[in-house]
Amino acid sequence: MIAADEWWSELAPEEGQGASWRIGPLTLRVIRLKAEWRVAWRVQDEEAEPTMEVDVPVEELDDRWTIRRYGFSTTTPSCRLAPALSDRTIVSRPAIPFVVPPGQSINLLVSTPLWLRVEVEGAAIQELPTLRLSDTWFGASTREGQLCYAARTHLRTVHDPVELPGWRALTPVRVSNRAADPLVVERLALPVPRLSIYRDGDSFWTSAVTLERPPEGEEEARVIVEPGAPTPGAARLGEPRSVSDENPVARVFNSIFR
Amino acid sequence: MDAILNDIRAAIDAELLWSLAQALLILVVGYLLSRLVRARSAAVLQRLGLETYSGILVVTVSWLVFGLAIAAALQHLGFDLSVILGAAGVFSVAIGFASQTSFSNVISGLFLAMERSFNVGDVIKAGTITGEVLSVDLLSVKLRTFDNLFVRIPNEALVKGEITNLSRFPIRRADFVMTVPYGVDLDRVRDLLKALAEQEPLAMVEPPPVFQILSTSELGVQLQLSVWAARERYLDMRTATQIAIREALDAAGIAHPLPRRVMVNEAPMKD
Repeated sequence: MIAADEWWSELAPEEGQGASWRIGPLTLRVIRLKAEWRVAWRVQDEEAEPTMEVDVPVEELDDRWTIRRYGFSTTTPSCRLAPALSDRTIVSRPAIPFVVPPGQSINLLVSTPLWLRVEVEGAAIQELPTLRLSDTWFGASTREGQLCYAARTHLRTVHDPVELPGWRALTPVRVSNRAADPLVVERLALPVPRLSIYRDGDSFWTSAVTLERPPEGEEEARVIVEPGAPTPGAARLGEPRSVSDENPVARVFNSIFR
Repeated sequence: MDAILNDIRAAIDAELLWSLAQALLILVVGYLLSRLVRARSAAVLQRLGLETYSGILVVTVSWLVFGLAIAAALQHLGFDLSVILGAAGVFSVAIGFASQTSFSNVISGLFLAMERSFNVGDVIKAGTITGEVLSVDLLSVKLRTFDNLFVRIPNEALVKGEITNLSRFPIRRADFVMTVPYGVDLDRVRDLLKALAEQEPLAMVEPPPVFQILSTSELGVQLQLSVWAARERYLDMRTATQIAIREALDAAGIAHPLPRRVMVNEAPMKD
């Protein structure tokens, strides 16, 4: 067993061997054969802190596993499980509604589950969420909006103690209410595909996000992804999936507050 | 004298030949123009989001251009267009009667293009037919049904009838109707159904699932659970939720009610 903070490092499995990971509710195996890579995973009820086991031999897996085979002319010993972020915006619903009074700005921390990217020989062959999230719709109507994932959140402030599972990433969110009436945060849509992933200490982080609600009649609401690292010592592990200037979250945000 | 007449005849023939050549040139230019319109309009219609209807629109416009070229060529040859149009009018009335349905379909196709109710690739329901739109043509719309049949629906039938576009909006709602026997705790059933909708990842959290009591009948109380899903995952969600409902109701001991009659005999019993 290898320490949890090394589970995304590059591996060089021998032919007929591979590695196994247990991350949150997900168990994942990557096995190297002569002309194929075999990826298998299953979801368990219990959640676990990330662990990795190497030199796992080929063995028959029962029907609780989902298996994919990826053919190569010949395989070379190079594989990695890379931490990544969601492929859709995640709409977090606070367990208790959070109110930002007029003129106030609040710094919050929102956690979202990691996605895992299986990379072999430098190419990504499979991607999986550590936790399967429900679909949800974020929009002003059923005709206009965005397909997202839904998640529950405790919506911690930066002053609350955070004990984060090792398979979730923290996003610093600054919510600024410049309007004349209180802003009730019942849902918080994080544009996760536009965020980078970082590692600082024992935790995964994402780029920081600022949500600005303007005064009545002024410019449109803004969702800003801060360009730098979220904490001073954070090291970037991955780029954003989408670098599009077009911001569907802001568009929906505007349509709600218009 | 003969020489003069021959010269005149030659001059007339030359003039006629020259006119014929010019008329032919007009026709050729008109034909090339109609081909150009045909080639260019596909790109223009694509920019306008009308590529679905390009078949019918391109053919109509290119024939219109070529028709104008024919009219111009005839006028150049000295034909009186009003006479020709008059004769054509009588002729077209005869043709019109003979091909009334076809013209109706062409005109209906233009109306469909104006309304833009669906595009190629959309899944529509027209009458009893549900299928994916393969093409919108001059006379008809071609569909592929889910059991892989090719169906041709005349444009006129689509204009006259009701069309449901199942692909227009990104999310869809599935309604699950069930009947539970009298005496069952309906609050418990509601909590049960809402919980299973929350646990199904394909069922959307928002818009939230809706539980309602539809009616009462001799069988029991008719309930409905309405759940939203992404359009692409609608069928998967509907199947998964239907199974989950059945399993949850079975696990809770709530069986589908059977028809029941209570017979009351009010006649006095005889010893």
